[in-house]
Amino acid sequence: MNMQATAPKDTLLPWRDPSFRADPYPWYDRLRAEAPVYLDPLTGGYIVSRYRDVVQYGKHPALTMKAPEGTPKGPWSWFKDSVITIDPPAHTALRRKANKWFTPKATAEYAKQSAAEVHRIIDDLGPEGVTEAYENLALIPGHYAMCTALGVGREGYRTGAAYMRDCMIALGSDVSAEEQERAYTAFRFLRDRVSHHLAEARRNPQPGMLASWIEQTAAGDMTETQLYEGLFLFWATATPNAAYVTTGGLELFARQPEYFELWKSRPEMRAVILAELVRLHTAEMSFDRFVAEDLEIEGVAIPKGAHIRFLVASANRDTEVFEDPHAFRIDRPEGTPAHLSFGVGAHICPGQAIALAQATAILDAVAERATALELAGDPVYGHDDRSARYLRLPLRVIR
Amino acid sequence: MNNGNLSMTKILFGTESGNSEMAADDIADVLRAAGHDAEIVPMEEADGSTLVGTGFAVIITSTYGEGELPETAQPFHDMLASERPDLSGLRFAAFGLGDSTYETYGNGIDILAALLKDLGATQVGETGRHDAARTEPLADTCTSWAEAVLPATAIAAE
Repeated sequence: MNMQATAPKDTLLPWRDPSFRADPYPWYDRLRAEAPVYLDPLTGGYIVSRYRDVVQYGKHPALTMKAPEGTPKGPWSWFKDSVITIDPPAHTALRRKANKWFTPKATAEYAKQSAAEVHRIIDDLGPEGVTEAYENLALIPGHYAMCTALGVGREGYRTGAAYMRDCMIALGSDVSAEEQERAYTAFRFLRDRVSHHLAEARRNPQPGMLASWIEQTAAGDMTETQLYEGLFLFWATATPNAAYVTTGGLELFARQPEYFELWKSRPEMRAVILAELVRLHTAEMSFDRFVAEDLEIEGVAIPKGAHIRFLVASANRDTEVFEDPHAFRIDRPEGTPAHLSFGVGAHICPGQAIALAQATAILDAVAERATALELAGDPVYGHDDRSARYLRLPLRVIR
Repeated sequence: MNNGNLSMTKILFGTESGNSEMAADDIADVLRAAGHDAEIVPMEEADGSTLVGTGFAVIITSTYGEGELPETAQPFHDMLASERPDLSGLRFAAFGLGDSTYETYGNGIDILAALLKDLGATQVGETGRHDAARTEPLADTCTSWAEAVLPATAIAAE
């Protein structure tokens, strides 16, 4: 099916429509049924939305991270030599610089810092036990685990995460001039903070990945660009995505207390509960590739040089794979395919272990201290057309 | 049970992102719960002498890229292939981590198991496999496999 004749006013993906941004899933359902490989009239790129196609083609060797000559530059174009700009085999070598710092075992250790911060926040609660859980129980505790992994100071991340949101909006499909400008401003702050942490680590190295990378750079095994851009990706971009999942868990526990009880009483179920949270809370809803060689998906010919956006969030709710896909369910049949929230192929999220470790440690610490959780107001979400996030989760922690 | 007759099982893991290390820990727990001693050895710290003189070992590795061995298993494999130690005294069980959306699903463990057999070792039990493309947690899969395969085979080695 080729949708080239579709007029912009009939688009199946109204990227800027506030109701689409708030809940794109009805549009995704229609897209998978009517045009699973869709030539988007608004962006000129192809949109792939079925689970089976995202799994198979999202890692296809005909695809590249490198934008063809002539692709317009955007706020993210300053990245030159990092895991988000290069393909294997160079990508593999660079990625291996980080792997040993972000194993499940190592990240479980870092996440003890997340748990400690949750305990501190709960110790400090007022008599009503009310907190804003996104920042206080998810984002900042999660950030402390990342700081431990990297060996950097903890300061500056509340502002950093707020600015990171402005950067992420610029990865969307239909970005306004104002949104682009906000992203450039945000990068100015974030890059300056990264320079600060780098300078601090050179002056006073702490145990962690950054000191090791500085040594490797001095030895000629990494470039300054790889060092700086790699630090940026881990320090700035990673934690809000993990915090979205963690906060989703807290909201679930407040709305459906039976899952909070299950988390407490059945530790062996925690991995399954967490996986279902990650499926439903797809923080980065899509990823992009460019076509290096002509490719055909579902009968649609996609030419060399084209841009493809793979809708991970759509794949994660594909009824061909997940029965009752919008529901939180931990009784899915054995052999159900795994969610794709961390991406697919060589570029799968290098921070997935620390994301899961943060969420587990935080939810464990909350479960240890709280008899129940209640919403203390309506959650506020801040989704754009590519990233999903909380802005506020008012929560009452009942002790 | 095994009073005074504890067997020492070596558990070697090769990994790219650390998941095999988690499997090694879980498999060691199963062996220890059954009264066996288990020593976990990362493949980057192992060589031929690690296996020569060992009665029973568990080999764990993921598969990387298009069917290749992961970062820490490749040098171990290459060292064994070049030194060719006599492993005729070794019995081993094998567990692989992979992703069935790749045609090369589980290649890594098959490559290593084939090499050990080529060097004279005997594999016991079915090769265990965890599929990252399915929802079953790794801990559940490797623990079930270890409980089904290991205590009996390790005890039989004593």
